[in-house]
This record gives sequence, C-alpha cells and structure tokens, in this order.
Amino acid sequence: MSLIINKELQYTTLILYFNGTMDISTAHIFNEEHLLHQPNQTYQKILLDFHNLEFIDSTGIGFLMEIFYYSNEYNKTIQFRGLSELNREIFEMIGLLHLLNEFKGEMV
Amino acid sequence: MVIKKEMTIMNHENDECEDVVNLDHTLKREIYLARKIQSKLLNGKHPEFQGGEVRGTSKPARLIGGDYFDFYPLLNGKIRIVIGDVMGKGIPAAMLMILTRGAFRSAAESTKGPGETLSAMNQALFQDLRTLKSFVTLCCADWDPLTKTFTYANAGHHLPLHIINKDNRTTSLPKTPGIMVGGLPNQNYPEQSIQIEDGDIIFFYTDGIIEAQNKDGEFFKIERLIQSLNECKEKNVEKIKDSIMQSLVTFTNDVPQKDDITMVILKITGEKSDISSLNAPAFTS
Repeated sequence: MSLIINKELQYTTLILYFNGTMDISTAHIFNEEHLLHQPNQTYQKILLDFHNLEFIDSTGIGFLMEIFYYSNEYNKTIQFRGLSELNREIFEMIGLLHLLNEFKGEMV
Repeated sequence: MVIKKEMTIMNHENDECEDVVNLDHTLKREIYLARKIQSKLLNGKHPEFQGGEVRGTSKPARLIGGDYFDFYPLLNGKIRIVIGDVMGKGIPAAMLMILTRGAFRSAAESTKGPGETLSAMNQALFQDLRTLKSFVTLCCADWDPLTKTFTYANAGHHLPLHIINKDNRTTSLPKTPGIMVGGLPNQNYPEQSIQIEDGDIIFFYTDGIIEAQNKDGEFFKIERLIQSLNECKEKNVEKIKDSIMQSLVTFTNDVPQKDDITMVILKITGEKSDISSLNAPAFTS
C-alpha cells in the first residue's frame, strides 16, 4: 500500500493528485498544512484530483475534511475531480459531498 | 578517576535500559487492561425481549479499536440500537469510542427517537471531535417489538441490510440523509420507519467487514456478505454472528485484519410479543 500526492500550481489553482491508497498505512503522508502551504499563498482554488485514488478509508476521509476546514479558514474554494463511482458513493454516504457543498465547493 | 566515570556512565545506561523495559511492561499491561475494559463494555449484556433477539460483536484490528455498538432499552418497551465507527484505529480511536458511548447513553435517555439521539450526540461531541480532527459515523435505530416498527436515522454510516424472509431477498434499508458526527454543528438527522415481519433480519455492520481483504488483495464486499447471510439466515442470532465471522476467517485466510469488524444482528422470530408499554426489556449476559 502506498500513496503519492503530487502537487501542481496552475495560475490560481493548486492541484493535488492522489495516487494510491489513503488509509492508516499512508496517514504519515497526510499533512494539510504542509501540502497546502505555498509561498505568498497565491492560489485561490484547491483542486483535488482523485483519478488515481485506489482506496480510501475513514482516516483518508478525515484528511480531506481537514483540507475543507483549512480552505475555509484561508478563504479558498475546493473542487473535486475524477471520483470513481465507488468513491463517490462512499463520499456521499459519509457526508463528505454535503460538506463540500457547505464549504462552497463543487465537483468538476 | 577515568574508570569511575566510565562505570558511572555504564550504570546510567543500565538504568535507562531498565526504565525502557519497565515502561514497555507497563504500557503492555495498560493496553491489555484497556482491551479488557473495552471488550467488557462492548460485549456485555444484551437486551432480551419477546418476539425476537438481538446480538452484537466487535473484533478490533489492533489490541483495541474504534468500532462501537450498544443497546439501550427504553421505558416504553422499545430498544434503541446504535452502531458506529470512529475515524482511525488503535488507542486514539478507542478513546473516542468511549466518549461516543457516553454521549449515546446520555442522549438515548433524554431524546425521543434515533434522529434526536444523533443530533444530541453531534452537539455533545462536535467540539471535541473538531479539536482532535476526528469524526464518527453512526447508525441509530429504535426497535418496537409491540408494533414491529423499525425506525432509524443515519450519520454517515453504512445503512443496515434488511433480509426479507417472505421474499427471500436482501436489501439495504432506504436511504436517509445525515452526515457524520463531528462534521458540522447543529445537524438534523431525519428518521425513516419500516415494518419488519416474522423471520426478517436487520444486519448492522461496519466497513471492516466488507473491506476485509484476502491475500490477493480482494475485498470481501457487500455481495459476499449478503451471500453469507443467506446461507445462515435460518439460524439464531448467536449462530449467524459466528457464521459471518467464520466466513470472514475463511475468506481472509490468515491475512492480518486491517480494520475493526463489528456487527449487530436483530432477528424477528415471530414469537408473540407481550411487552407492556411501560416495561423495559430485560438485559441478559
């Protein structure tokens, strides 16, 4: 089980690409402040790309929630992209899509 | 002088080594005590009532876990049932599980239905869970043996399965909205009600069951769970519980368990319900 999170800054959007497994075995990689911190905080939008997300459990969901709270605190908007049908169902069941809506985010 | 100094250093190192060994023993002893406490709290008494039976069981992936289930017999003869999964695993999750248990017991006593119970729990736990960057998914239900009505509300948890005896089929309970406890404050959890008939089973579970993996990395999945339930649905709840556990053992075939496994089984046996409205069901070990 492994997880690689690639980061890319495109104009005013910070894109995080999740590749692999987001669970307790990869939790040491999760650090929203480290991942989202950019010099001068020039970006306005955080785009989370889940095309290569293989598996996510409650620990991974908890990390995504922290990204929500961070974005809210620093006035950034959030977008989700590339959710598989299964992951979408999990996110919906647990309430993450409701949270995305509450934090004025969207699916693209 | 030099020799004396070296001996002092060696003694100091021995002391440190002894301290580490002692700490290791102490930690192990305390973790085993914590495991014993959690196991006793989880796998304690279950309510007895006419017309059906209910049981739960929980097997942590580590020494202690973050899954939770509980029963709370109400004075009007209903039984409030809850199952939950705290984010994460091990000791941190277990500590939050105990907090969750306290919140449920307190809320169950003072709220009218499962939806209100979840709202009260969310209010009680929200700040602590935010501080600790955690959350809990919960499904809470009232079983009324007198009217055979099952009323439930959901906070981001897997909906229980309903094994419908007369149609010989298994389905998830109808969806009802509700986000995880600890996500946002001031949440409402709408309730749904269904009628349950004789021979029906309601199966509550946590994701450790459907996400159990074998050596090829395959998941147990909901389909295997339904198949396993179909194979043992005629048995009593104790044996259904054992059968599902055995199916998981057979499937995983010695692959270490990654997540806590918890289930609650409510089976309606069809025996005559004879519970007066002010008699709470009894508890049995």
